[in-house]
Amino acid sequence: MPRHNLAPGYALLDETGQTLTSEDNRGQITLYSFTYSHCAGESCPQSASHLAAVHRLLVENPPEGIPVALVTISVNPERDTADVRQAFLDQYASDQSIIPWHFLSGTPERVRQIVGGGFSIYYRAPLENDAEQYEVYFEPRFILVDGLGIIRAEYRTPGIDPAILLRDIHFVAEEARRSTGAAKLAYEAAHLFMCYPR
Amino acid sequence: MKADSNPRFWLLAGGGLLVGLVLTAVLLIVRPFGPPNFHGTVFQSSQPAQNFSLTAHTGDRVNLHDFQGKVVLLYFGYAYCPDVCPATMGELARAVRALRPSQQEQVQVIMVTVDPERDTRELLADYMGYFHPTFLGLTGSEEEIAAAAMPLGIYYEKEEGTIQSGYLVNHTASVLVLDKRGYLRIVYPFGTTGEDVASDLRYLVRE
Repeated sequence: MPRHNLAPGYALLDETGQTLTSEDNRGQITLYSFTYSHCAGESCPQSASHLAAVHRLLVENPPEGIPVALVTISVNPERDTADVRQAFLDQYASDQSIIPWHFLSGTPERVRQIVGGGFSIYYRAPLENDAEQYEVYFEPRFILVDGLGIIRAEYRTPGIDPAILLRDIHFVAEEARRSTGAAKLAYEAAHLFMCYPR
Repeated sequence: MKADSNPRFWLLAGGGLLVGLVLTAVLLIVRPFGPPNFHGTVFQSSQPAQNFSLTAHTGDRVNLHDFQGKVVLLYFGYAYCPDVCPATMGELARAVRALRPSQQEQVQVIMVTVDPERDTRELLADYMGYFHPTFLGLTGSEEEIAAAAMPLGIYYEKEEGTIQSGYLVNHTASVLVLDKRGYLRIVYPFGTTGEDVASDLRYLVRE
């Protein structure tokens, strides 16, 4: 699997309000997805039930020895407060001790920079943000990032094929297990890639 | 019949030796033209790295794409950085000095500050000059620097009150190598030696 590009460097807030950065994901395989908590029904590009199915799939098929995490970034930061994101995970996540699942957000400007600029995903905020019935338009996308912070695969689809996703994740995990030198360090001593790790 | 008096034996032995010598010579000549064994993570980028626009320590406004035609070593750091940045910049200086002058001309080392508050142009000029006269320090507004760093996978944050004399800036410590077309080709982790970098540069400047 080719290495086309680096995943963006960022700091956002997780569902508990804690800062989570791109460096925190170094040393683990991360599957990024994008949605908003009220995303439901057929009109929604990447629905909660599909993300729940992806999480369950990973929990049931974790690669050996290499940590994997699911990171979802909200495309509706105005409404997706930490409480709302936590409630979303409480409802849809499977076993978080096997595959952690974080639901990130931040200021609308920062989310726009990272999701729009960094991950190159187009999304459009709703015109009316107060109605019960409203939709956020966004391009459905899953992005697979390895332990060195490198984008290894992008899936431009609302519904990812489980067989293809597992094949790719296990490929990157196998590559990580066989790695040497700097790549091995990224998985074993990720903190060495930062100046003053927390 | 004894072997040493058999002309056929000597012909075969001599021929074998000759073939061996020729093969060795050919391998030695061809080897530097073979595929390189780079010392970092190698990329297969499909487009040039995202452009950015910043101000150099010389006062000139520069774009990343201005440096196409040179191999660019790109690092994000800051002058008050006590350990990792000077160590990395020192290794990059060693790498550049290990090259022939004609090769050095085809390489540009750039450090983008992640501490624009304290890294004035004057300070950056001093800092760069300390390592190598051709090194370029870049600065800009908070927004401009964030826009340059984020797409290149660089994360940084100020750590207030970490030391008595001020603050530290925690940041991704990788060195990025862009080839002459401006494509991201190699990422080195912190600790890559100047010798290893120089060996990769010798290949990249020939492209």
